[in-house]
Amino acid sequence: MSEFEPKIVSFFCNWCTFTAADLAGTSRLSYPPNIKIIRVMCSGMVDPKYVLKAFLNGADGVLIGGCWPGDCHYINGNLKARRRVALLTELLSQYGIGPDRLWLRWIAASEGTMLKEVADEMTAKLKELGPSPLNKTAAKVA
Amino acid sequence: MSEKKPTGKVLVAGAGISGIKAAIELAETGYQVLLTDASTQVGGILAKLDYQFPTDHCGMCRMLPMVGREYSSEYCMRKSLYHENIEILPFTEVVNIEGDAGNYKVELKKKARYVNPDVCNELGKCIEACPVEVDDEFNHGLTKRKAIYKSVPHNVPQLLLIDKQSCTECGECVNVCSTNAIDLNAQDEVESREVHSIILASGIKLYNLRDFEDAKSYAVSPDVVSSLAFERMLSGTGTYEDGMIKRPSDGKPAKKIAWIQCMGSRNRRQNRDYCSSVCCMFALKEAVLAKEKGGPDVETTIFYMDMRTFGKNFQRYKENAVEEHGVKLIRCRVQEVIRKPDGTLQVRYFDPLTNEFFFEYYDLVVLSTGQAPFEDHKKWAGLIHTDLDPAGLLTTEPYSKVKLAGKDGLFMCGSLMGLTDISEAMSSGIAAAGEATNFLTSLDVSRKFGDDTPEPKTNDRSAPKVAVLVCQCGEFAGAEGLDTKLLETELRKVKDVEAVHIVESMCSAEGEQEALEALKKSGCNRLLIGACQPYMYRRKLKDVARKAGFNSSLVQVFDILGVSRRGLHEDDKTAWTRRAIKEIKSDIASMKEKPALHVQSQPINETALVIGGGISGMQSALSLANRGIPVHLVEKSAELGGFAGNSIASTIDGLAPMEMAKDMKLRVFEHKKIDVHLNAQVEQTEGTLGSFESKIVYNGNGEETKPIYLHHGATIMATGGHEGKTDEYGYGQADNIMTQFEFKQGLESGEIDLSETENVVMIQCVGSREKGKREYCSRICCMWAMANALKIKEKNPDTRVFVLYRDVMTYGFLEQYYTKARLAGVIFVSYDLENRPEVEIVEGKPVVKFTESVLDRPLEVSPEYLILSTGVDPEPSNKDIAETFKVDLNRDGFFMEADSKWRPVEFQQMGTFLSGVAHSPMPLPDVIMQAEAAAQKTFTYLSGGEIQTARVTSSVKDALCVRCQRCIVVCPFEARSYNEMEHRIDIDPSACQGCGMCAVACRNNAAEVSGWSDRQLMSVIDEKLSDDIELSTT
Repeated sequence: MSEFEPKIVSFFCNWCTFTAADLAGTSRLSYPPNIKIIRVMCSGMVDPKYVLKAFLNGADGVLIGGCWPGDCHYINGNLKARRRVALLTELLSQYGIGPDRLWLRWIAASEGTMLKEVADEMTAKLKELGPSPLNKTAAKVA
Repeated sequence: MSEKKPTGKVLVAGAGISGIKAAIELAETGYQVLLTDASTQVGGILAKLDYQFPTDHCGMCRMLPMVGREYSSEYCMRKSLYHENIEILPFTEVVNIEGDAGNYKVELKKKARYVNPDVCNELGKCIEACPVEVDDEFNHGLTKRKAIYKSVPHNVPQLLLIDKQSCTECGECVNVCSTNAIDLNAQDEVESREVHSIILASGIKLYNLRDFEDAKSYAVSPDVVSSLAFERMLSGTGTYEDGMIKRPSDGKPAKKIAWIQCMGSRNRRQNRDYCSSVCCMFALKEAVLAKEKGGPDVETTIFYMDMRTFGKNFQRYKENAVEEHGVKLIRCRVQEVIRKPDGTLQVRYFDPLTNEFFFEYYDLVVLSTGQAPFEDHKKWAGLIHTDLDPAGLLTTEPYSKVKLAGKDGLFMCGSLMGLTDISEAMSSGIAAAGEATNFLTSLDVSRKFGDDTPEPKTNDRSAPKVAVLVCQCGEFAGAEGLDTKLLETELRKVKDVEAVHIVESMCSAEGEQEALEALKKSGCNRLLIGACQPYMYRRKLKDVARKAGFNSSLVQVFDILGVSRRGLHEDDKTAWTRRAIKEIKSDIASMKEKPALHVQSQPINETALVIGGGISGMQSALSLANRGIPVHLVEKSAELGGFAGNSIASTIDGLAPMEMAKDMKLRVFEHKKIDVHLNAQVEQTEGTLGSFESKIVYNGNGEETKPIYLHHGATIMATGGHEGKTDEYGYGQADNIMTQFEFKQGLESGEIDLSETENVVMIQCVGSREKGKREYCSRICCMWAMANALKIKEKNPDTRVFVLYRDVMTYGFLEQYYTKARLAGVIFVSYDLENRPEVEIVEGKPVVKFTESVLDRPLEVSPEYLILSTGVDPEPSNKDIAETFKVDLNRDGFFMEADSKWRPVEFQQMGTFLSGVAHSPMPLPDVIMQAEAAAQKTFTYLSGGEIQTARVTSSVKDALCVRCQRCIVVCPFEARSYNEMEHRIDIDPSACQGCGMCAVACRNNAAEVSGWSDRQLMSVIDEKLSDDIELSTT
């Protein structure tokens, strides 16, 4: 039986975190393939229903990456994301999806190393937690 | 515009931020720009700064166009920059300039990179193979690089080059290069170009620690670094690692860090009688960041002479650094730095407060190295055939900071004017672009917007048929493990994919032709191209697609060599193919749901409204009117000119504001395009960029005049300010206690006779830079004090002049006047808030008590004149105007710009701009520069008669909308409004930036961003997840 490989849907903001992913790439830093990057224009563009959809469709974790507070290209989209994630975490816990499965991280364009660290850390954490309770297929395998 | 006229062409020499800004502004206006930089990259110093105050992070992308987003790059500027009207030539030097205004012939030396960027696939095998290791300049020698290298870590594409000086020509790199991109015998190429105008934006050199006298004696260890090097020690692409600021000598964490200011600056004996303006804020920011990045136990000390926090909100930043972050400030001269055997650095300094020598020990010492301007100025003077001023600097036209003296069509901006902060770099870049535009409109040249070829018509309702085109990069992709056969088979299985075509090499003409033929035959309406370096080739690939009949919003380019390989472990051979298939499939999923998007044009009212008839307002009005834009100039008083124009006869730098204003008034009144409204105020305004309506009321002489309604496309706030009032230090209790301005007027009118005067005392910062009072530096009072003090000394050299100051703010080249005043015998005595001077009124005369700092002795002086520097107050009317225009004021009552660094002359509210003292107190040349910048921004939007809005904007599905108006509240750009008449939500597509906040806030899915619909994103999520399930079950 191979090791459980969590699937992490990652919404990265076009301006900062996606650039950090580019930088990690050009700096030849490898991060786990569990991180499945979806580029969005802003972390504030991530609709809660995208997060729910990801969990319903088998994601074991969702990572949202945005610019640091004060740096958002759209002034305050990241702050809106922060508020939304706080509420969403509450909501998800009602369905047995713990706070460790939805991460919001500020990763600036130059922080390629940080991107790698966050990706490693989240993958390790989810490996420890096991499959999402909603992820029946994976749960059966496990 | 006639077809035959050539498009106006401008060379911007220097691609630091001011040059980039100037280039973007010109490109947005419709001119062709040639943007060169002598270094290997664009971005100048900013490429090295990951963090900028006041947010202590980055905001560089905010300088990208707001309206013309369609034509420029929409990604982080640290990657690179792209604009349809800008040709970027890095590693290119201007070596010769001939010709006249409007007809310059420039010779550009394109330096050899030895690596052909068109062919290089940036995998870096050559870097691994290179045996030579040298210091990396980008990280100031803190790290090493190879002789073949990437000059900036975060640039995309990564343009490699060979440093021929350290290259041993061993040929290892040539051997491992699979694309034959390396040519060790490449030569520099000189190319001749013709341009109408030139903007010099080359920036300025900073002193290098190890090779100039002043710093050498301090740079006793590798742990003494320059402030720019320290910036690299905070960066993830520098030496910052594991939450540690590493000491260069041994990699141990630096926990005690000192900054020594004015390194190379403010040194008259070395012929550097100037201040470098930005180092104080730079050091403060670094000290704050050191704690943030190195941990709370990091101790930071700044050794300084004067803490020059003269810019907008700078004073507050300093107070915050000291009070919230515990940054220690010590005013002194550092005598020496000694390296102790254990590596710690001993800093010996003289404390003027206690008159004693002290020692402190640090892990790291940062030297705030300043500007070295003369070499650059000399070089440019030679190239443009002009003379330097006695100080060795380029001369500008009077009142202008950007127009080079006697040289039509030649301008400068950014740090070439003297080291500038980001805000000033932006203002000057826009102003230079404005002056260039001004100049170009006088020539017979045209402007060009975007691509003229019409977009192929796509039937939006036809079912999606996707074509996929993959370039296999010659032999390369196969050799590296991309299985294009498998890729093709897998992609053919995807629903709605009608054609998959593998091209051997899209870079070649045959490849391009082959692709074009295949696409024409495909009968598809959507296209995905997998190719390398899409940032570079996107344009070209999209052109091919357009020729084949695809709408460009339905063409996506996917980075098959880069993104799909990034982060993968190299030992997993099939990983690349698997990842590429998956990525392409999710792109297809998104594209299938995407409708064709079209650029829309929006009509624009060309008229501008300028509020405030001071020098700033008049300058903006004249600049716009001269370019054919009709202007309404609204002034609340009965007279144009404002505070400076009506009451200041002269300034220390030889300017005559009153005389200048007199001339401007004449020109304003005579100008056919300018309507002046005196005794008038804007009472109401409504509308969006391009179509505002404002109600103007008149309140002159008790006569009631009917209000009028003006239609205009944009507004500039130029409300100015006035001298502050005070009741401190006995003001109002004796005739001979007066403000700097009152004293100056007295001197000029001859009312004040100094022949018998023995003592004059000036007190600086009265009611300024203090909590609860004016919490900012007014920037001009020190200059007024210098001017008055010098005048007194000139009229009566025997008069003793005491200037009681906190920090002397003679920043930049104004430092020379401070020096002059000291040489003339003016006595400068510092005080601080705990120990401020006291004034007693004895028999109707002031007696000033203060402590003389050098002698450390209390002094009592009974001056004939006590002069108070009371600073500059904002106009009280700002409050009403801010409310009317729905813009914000800062805590001090000045207008708050959209972004304090990157967008200094515009408001968040589109079509509304600001300039001059309405922004913050500033000297006259800066006022003129900002006025020019605000005019340029206005011109860019108004002058076309219409503007093209971006494809990606938000919309409302009216049938689904419940009018809850939440989307209006969340929109950060105020692009949404409620239309009461029609009972619906209106969107201003020029203000909308496509961020999608509205779409998330909308509970009914009525709000949507085109190109970012829920359906698209949901399909992508499905695709990203489903693929894996498939793989794991097979």
